[in-house]
Amino acid sequence: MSDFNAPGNAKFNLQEALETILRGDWLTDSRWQGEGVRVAILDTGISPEVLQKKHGANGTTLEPMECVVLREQEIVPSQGKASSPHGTVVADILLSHAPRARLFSADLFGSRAGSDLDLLLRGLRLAMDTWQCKVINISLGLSENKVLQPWRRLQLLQVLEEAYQRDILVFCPAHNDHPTIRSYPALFAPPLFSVNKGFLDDLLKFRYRPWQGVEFAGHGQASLAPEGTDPATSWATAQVAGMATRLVSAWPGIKPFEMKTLLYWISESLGKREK
Amino acid sequence: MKKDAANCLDVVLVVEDEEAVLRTFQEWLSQGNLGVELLTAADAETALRLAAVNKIDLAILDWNLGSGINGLDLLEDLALFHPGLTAILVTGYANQATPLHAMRMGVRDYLDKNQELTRETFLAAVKKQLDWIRPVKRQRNFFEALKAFRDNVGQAVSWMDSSHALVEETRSKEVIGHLLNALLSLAGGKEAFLLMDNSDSSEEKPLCFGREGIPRSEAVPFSNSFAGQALGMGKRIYSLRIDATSSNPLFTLQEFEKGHAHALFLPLSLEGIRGVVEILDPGALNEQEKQALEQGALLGADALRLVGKLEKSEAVILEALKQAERITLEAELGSAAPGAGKVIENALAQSGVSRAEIDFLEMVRHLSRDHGQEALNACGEMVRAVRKLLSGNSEVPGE
Repeated sequence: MSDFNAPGNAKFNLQEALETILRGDWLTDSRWQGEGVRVAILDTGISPEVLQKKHGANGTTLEPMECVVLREQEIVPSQGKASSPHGTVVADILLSHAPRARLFSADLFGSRAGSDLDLLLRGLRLAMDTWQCKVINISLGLSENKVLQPWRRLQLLQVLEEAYQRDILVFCPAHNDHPTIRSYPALFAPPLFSVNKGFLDDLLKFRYRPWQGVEFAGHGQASLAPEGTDPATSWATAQVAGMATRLVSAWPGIKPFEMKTLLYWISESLGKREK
Repeated sequence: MKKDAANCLDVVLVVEDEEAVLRTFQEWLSQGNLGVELLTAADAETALRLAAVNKIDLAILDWNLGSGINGLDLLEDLALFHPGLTAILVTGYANQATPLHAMRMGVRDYLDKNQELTRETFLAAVKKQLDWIRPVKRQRNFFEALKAFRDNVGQAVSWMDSSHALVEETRSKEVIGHLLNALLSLAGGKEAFLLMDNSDSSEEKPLCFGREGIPRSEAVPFSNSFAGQALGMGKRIYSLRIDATSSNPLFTLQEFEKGHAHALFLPLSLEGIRGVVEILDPGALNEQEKQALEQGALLGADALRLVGKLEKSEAVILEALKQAERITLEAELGSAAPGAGKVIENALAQSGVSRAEIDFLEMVRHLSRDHGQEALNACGEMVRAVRKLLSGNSEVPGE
């Protein structure tokens, strides 16, 4: 067996990758923890202090995080504050899967002006061009009625297609009331990873389930979310993105369609394990 | 069509007791393309009646109007209606006129019936006066309009000020109060609050409104509150247990949440402002009741947006009116050159001349104007005496 699965040094080979994955030992291998992977969280901002405290208690030293707030005309440092706890919960899920990943957070929620779509587009450009992130997690969706004009949808689609062509993995949640309410960018499923919430009993479980414009279903619970809350697509998305981040640490140049194939097979293998 | 005050025709009043002469003047003026409106009178009484109801820019008055009244007497009476009225006197007795008195009364030209009074000389004299009158009139109209505008603006400002003060608080207060009461009643909860961005605070602590509709206190920032979490979730309705989360490092309980077990959140879409209604210990809600709550929150958000827009637009109008009032007042005070006062003040400041020195010179100038050279000489004497007194020197250079 070749040493292809040493993190970061291998050219992706589907057959070998599948063999490694199906063996299942990668799940517990400490080398597959997101080392060297740059992950953008386009959300409500994150609180590094809370994350460092929580993960530090497990003996993990987190990579330094870069956190900004996108405002109408400017990008400002976040000063360690988030607009809502939501983004920190997402970051915690990602770090639970891939604690060695480097997080970049753009708070799209702190601005009181500008349309949501404009902020999302600016956040995507920041993550793709400035931060050069391989994984982008967008746990905030825009319901269809917020992106009514076709040319605005096209604007978003073009950026996501560009990400796809640049081998950037973008993860987006379906609306929590999917399919009653549908939302973007998740509806652009082919060039990105759209995720619904599933009623799964394990963080590592997720499903490949193409249905109504959404391909995956992830575990919808989070340890930092308030107790007693329903499963949420935001957490499910971060679960699948976290899993993908681990895989990127093995194959940094992996393409979105290759990642989808791996996730498909992983979901099958975990399904078997479930039995 | 409404007349534009600044562009209306100049009104010329011709008073001439000889019918043939009056007709001739009328023809000349009508055919002269002077752009004037013509009023004619054969006697002083008719002239005064016309002056009482018309604005007159130029009066062409015959000296001898019969009945023992002359053109200058009439001009004195006309001036009661139109101070500063410009006049041309037509006379066969130019040498008998009293030029100084006439000039003071506003007579700016004489036409002598006995010497070359032709169509051309007549029209040339009228045109000359109109050319003089028109810019003055434009300026006068401008300042009258300015004054009227400022008066109107002043009234509007005081009205807006009082209505703004009266309405601003009660409108939001009532809307918030009604909204919270309605949602609380629908949800069957114990208490309801509205948390909204505080645009006046740099610390991003939201304002907390109770059902009385006025801000009670600053609340826990959205970054650490369940309300913030509800906003981040993007759901229309979000509920959770709040009594079992004290160990979660991400959340801090609001003061009003303490002692309660559950909370239900209804985020409000408020265009650039984050807002969320929090209902404590709601009852068990079925789908229909949840939908009713969602609809109630949507309507409430609409009402709050409307109130916000009204208040914002009122504030903008008020500011614009105050600005207009300031500018027009400055224009009036600074006469023809708005802002000239400020320019002079700046120039004085740069020259090093004090305000007191300027005031003293102004007093001397007034004395000179009112009492002539003698007053000026007396002032000079006094200045020399004071200088001598202060310096103790008997030799004072001549001024």
